[in-house]
Amino acid sequence: MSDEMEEFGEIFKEETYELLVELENSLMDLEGEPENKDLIGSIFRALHTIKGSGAMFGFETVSAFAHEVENVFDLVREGTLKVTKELIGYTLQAKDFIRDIVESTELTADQESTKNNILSDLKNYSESNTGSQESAEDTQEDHEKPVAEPEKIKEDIVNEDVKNEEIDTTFRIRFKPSEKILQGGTDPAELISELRGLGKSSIVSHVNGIPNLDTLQADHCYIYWDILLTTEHNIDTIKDIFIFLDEDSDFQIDIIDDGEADDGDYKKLGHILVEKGDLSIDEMQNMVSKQPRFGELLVEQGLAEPEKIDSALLEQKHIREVRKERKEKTDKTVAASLRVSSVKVDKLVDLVGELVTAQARLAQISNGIDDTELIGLSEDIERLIWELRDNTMEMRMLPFGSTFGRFKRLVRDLSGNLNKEIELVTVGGETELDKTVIEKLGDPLTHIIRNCIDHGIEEPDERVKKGKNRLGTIHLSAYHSGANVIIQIKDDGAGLNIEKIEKKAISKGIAPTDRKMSDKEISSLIFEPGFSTAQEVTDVSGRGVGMDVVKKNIDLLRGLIDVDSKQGEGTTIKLKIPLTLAIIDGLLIAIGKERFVLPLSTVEECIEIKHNEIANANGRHFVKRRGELIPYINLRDIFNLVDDIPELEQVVITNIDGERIGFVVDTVIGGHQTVIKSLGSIYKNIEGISGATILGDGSIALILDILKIIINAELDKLKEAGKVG
Amino acid sequence: MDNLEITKDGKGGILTFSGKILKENIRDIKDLLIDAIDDAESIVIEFHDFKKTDMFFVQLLCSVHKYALLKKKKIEILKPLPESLKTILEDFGFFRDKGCIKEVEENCFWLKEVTNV
Repeated sequence: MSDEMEEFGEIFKEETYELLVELENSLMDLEGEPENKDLIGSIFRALHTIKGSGAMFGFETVSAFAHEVENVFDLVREGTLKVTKELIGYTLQAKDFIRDIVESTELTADQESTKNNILSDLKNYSESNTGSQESAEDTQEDHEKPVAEPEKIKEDIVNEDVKNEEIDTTFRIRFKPSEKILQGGTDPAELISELRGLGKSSIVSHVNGIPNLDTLQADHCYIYWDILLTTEHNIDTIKDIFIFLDEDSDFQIDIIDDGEADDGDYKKLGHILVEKGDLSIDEMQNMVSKQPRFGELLVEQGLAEPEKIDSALLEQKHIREVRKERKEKTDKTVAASLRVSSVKVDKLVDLVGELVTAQARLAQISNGIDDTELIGLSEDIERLIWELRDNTMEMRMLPFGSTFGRFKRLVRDLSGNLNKEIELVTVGGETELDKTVIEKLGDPLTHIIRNCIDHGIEEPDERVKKGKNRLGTIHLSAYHSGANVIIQIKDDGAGLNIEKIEKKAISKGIAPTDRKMSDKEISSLIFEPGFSTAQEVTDVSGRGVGMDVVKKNIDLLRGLIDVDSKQGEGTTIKLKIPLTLAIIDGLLIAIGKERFVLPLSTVEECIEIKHNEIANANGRHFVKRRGELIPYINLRDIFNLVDDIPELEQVVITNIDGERIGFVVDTVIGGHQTVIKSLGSIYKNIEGISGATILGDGSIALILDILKIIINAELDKLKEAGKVG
Repeated sequence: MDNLEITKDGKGGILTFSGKILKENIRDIKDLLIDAIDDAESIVIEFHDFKKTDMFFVQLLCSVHKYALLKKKKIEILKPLPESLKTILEDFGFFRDKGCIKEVEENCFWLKEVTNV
C-alpha cells in the first residue's frame, strides 16, 4: 500500500470510529423513540458513509458488511420494517463487529462466523417482521440484491466529491406526464425519484385533473408536478432523465436560483405565480392593492386553486431555505475546522510544556542580569507562551458527553443480562475536560456504573414490592467547579448496607473497634483494598477487586472520590477531577532548600506565623484568621526537613470542599506555571506527592497531593490518640 | 380481493386496505369501491397491516374522495396513516397546507394537520 493510501486508510479508520460512536448513540436513542425518522436517517447515513468510504479506501469487507446492514435500515426507513429492541440489539452487534474488523486485513474464522451470525439474525428478523409473505419476499429480494461492487461505490463517491465543489443551482421543473404514460413503458414515479436523487428537492403534486372514480382509468396518470430541485448538476443532466418521455408528455425546466444570492430572501408569492403563468400581472396588481394576505385572497376570488398557492409558497420556502443554507455554509467555510491526529496534539502539548519550563529559565536569567530590555522581552515571551498554553490546552478539551454512548450501551446490555430494567439519565454532556482525563476516567466510571447495575438497582419485582418504580434510574452528571470537574453517579437502588459493611470491615481489621464510626466513614470503607460484601462472585462484580481500584485510578488523576448512601433510597458517588493533567497553575513554596508546588485552585490566602507560636502550640495546631480557627499541617514535619527554620513562617490556607486547612511553609515564592511530570514507577507510590515539575534553574519541585497529606495527618492524629491500630 | 375489505356499520361503510397495493392491482379495487360508496351514506377508510403502495393508489384515493363528495357522501380517512403511505405522500408532494381544491379544502385527505405530519 502506498504511503498516501496508508494515510487515507488511517483517516478512514478515524472517521469510522467517530461514525460508529454516532451510530451507537443514535441506536440507543432510537430504542426509546422507535419512530424517530431523524434517528433512523442518521443511522442509515452512518452505515452508508462507512460503506462508501470503505469501498473507496480498500476496506471491502467493512464496506460489504455495512451495505448489508444498510439494506435492513433501508426497510426501516421506508416503513416496511419496525424498530424493536431486538433489531437494535442486532445492529449494535453489527456496529461492534465493524469496529472489530476495521483493523483487520482479512477475517479470521471467528470473525467470519460472527459476521454470518449477525447477517443471519438480521435476515431472519427482516423476514419475520415485515409481516405478510409478500413483504417477506420483498425483503428476501432486497437481501438477494448483490452487494454493490466496490468499484461502483467508489465511482459514486468520486462523483459526489466532484459535485461538492460545484455551485448549486435551483431549477423549477414542471412535469406533466401524459395520461397514458404507463402504457409507453415509463413510470412517472421513477422519473420523479431520479430527479429527487439529484439534490435537495421540494415537490408539489397537482391533483385537480384526477377524475371521479367512475371515469378514472386505473392505469392512467392524471397528476402533474412542480419540482424544485437544488443541485450541483447542470440542466442537461435533468433533461437526460426525460429523454425517453413520450410525445404527449411535457416538461419545462427554469432556473430560478443560480447560486449567487446569499441571503434568505426570495420573490413574493404573486411574482412566482405570474412567472409560472398561473396568474396575470393585472390580476396580481389588483389583488396587491386590496389586501396583504395575497394567497388567501386569490383563493377567495377564485383566481388560483389552493394547490397552486401551495406550490408557489413551497417555491418561496425552498429558495429561502437554499439561500439560508448557502449562507450558513459560506460562514462555516470561513471558520472551517481541521482534522488533526490526537498524537500530534499530544506532542504539541508536550512541547508547550517544555516551552513553559524554558521560559521560566529565561525569566530567571533575565532577572539575574538586570537588563530592562531583556526583562521586557522575557515578559513578552511569557505572555505569549501563556496564551499559547491556553489555546493548546483548549484543543485537547473534549465534551464529557462523548463518553455517554459507551455508558448507555453498558447499562442497556448489562441490565438486559441481569433481567433488570434500568435507565441511564445523563446531564452536563457539554462539560469539557482534557482528552487524557476523559480516557483515564473510562475504566473507573465503567466500574462504578457496573456496581450500580449489579448491586445497587434491585430487580423490577423487588422494586415494585418496595413501592418503587419498576424502572431503576442511574443519573450520570458532570459540571465544572473551578479548575475541577465534578462527576456524579447517582442510583435509586437499595443503597449501601451500613451494618453489613461495618461488620465486614471490623472482621477484616480495617475499622476501629473502640469507637463508633459515622455512616459516612463506614460508607468510605468500600474503597479499601479487598473489600466486598457481595454474597456471590459474579461476572460483573463481587471479587473484592473494584472500588479500591476505582479509587486508585481517581487518585492517579489527582482527583477525589466520595460516597453518600441512604439505605433503601440509593447511592451517590461524587468524583472531583482536575480539568487537565498537563499544566496547572501552581503556588511555588519553599521549605529549607526544597521547593514544592501547591495547586493554586485550592489556595485561598497566605498569612504569617511566628515559629515560636508553632513550637509552643503543644500539639494544638490552629491558626486564627479573622476570628476563625483554622487547623494547619506543618510540612516540615511531614517531609522531615529540620534545617534552617526561619523565625517567621507562612501559612498557606487552602479550601477543599468548604473545609479550610493551612500548610506551614518557610516562604511563598509565588505563582508558577506547573508543567506536570510523572514521578516514574519507583516513586509513584510515595504518598502526599502527585508529581514533579522542573523549575527555571533546572531544579525539581515536587507537586503536593494536599488531600492525601490531610488524610494521612488525620490518621496520624488518630494513631497518636490510640484510636486506630 | 385480498387487499380490500368492505364492511358495513349501520348505514356507513368501512373500507379497510391491507397488504401491498400497487398500480397493478388498483384496477380490481376500483369497481368494488364504487359499489361500496354507492351503498353507504358515509364512508370511513382505514388501514390494517398495510405494507407497501405507490402514487397510483394515492391517485385512486383522491378519486374516491371526489366521487364520494359528488355523491354527497361523508367520507373520512382514519389516522395515523401507515408509514409506507406517508412516505409516498411526502416523496410525491401530496401533502397540503391548503387542500387540493377550494370546494374540498377543509376535507382534503392530505392536509398536514389532519395527517399528523
